[in-house]
Amino acid sequence: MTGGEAACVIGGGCATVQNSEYAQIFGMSLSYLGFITYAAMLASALIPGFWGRLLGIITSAGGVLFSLWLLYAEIFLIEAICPWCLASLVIMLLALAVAVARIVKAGDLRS
Amino acid sequence: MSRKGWLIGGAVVVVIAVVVALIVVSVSGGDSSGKDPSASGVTGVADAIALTKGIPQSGFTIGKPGAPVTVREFIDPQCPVCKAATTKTLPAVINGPVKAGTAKLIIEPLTFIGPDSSDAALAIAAAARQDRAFIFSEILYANQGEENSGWVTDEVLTSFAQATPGLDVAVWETDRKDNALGDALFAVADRAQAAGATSTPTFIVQGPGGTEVITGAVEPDVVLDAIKAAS
Repeated sequence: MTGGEAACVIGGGCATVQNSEYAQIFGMSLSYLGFITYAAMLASALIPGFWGRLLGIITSAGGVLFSLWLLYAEIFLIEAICPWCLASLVIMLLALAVAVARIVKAGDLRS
Repeated sequence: MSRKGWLIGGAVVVVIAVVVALIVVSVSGGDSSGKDPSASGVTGVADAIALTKGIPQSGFTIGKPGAPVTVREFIDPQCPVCKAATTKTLPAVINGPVKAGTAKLIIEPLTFIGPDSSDAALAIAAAARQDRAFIFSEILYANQGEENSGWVTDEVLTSFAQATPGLDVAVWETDRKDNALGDALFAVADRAQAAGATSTPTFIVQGPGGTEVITGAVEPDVVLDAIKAAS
């Protein structure tokens, strides 16, 4: 996102993934989309109450789903693995677990 | 379920719908950044000649053999960041300390990205037998295709060889099928491992003043400063 170029990691997917057609949406780099998602996730942690928890589940669930799609694209379409994308998926999964835990603990699903 | 529960459930459903829509857009849009070198003429030859003019080349090395500082650059011919380094990092290094005789640059081709890397690296190694590995690799990077797209064909490599000044293409053609070149590339992989190079491009700057490992298509000053420190 900063315009810097990562190196090609031996055993990884180099810049194949970052340079692929799947790396942009509406001409916007996925790194910007990721930045916005992570910023919203940070905001969700800072916002107290139900709306913070709602924002947390929205951002983390969306992040996990999109990261899983990227993982599928890396393995079956681009045939190259992006280590940074895998790291992001792990973070998103952890964030989703935290978001679900917050909701369950607050009793939002109870009638 | 509570009103909050319904809100959360609804939000998750909306998120799923939005992500699916984004995926559909992602699949249908965008252009591939790679190009097909076979579809166009060889470019970058004049720049490669201008960059290397008057500088001795020997094997994989450019620069005076007795230069006190050695810069080893581990590359993969298909690595787009290595291509970026050829335009962003290397010109200042070649025009500066290499031309001045204080440093020499050795390119070390690795082949981890895919089969195209191997064929291209063998072509570079064959050019090295005629002391033209560096200029050959410069031309190759100027015409680099999309990773693992099958862009490294005999036709494309031959066009690079024909564009390399002073290269005997017939000898190069024979050399690049020599099994000994494969052994030379295995040796490069061993050196990369020994040097702790885990990505490309990696610059190992070594001299009397010490050793520095630099990774990525960095600003020229990063390598120039390392050369000064190693001198």
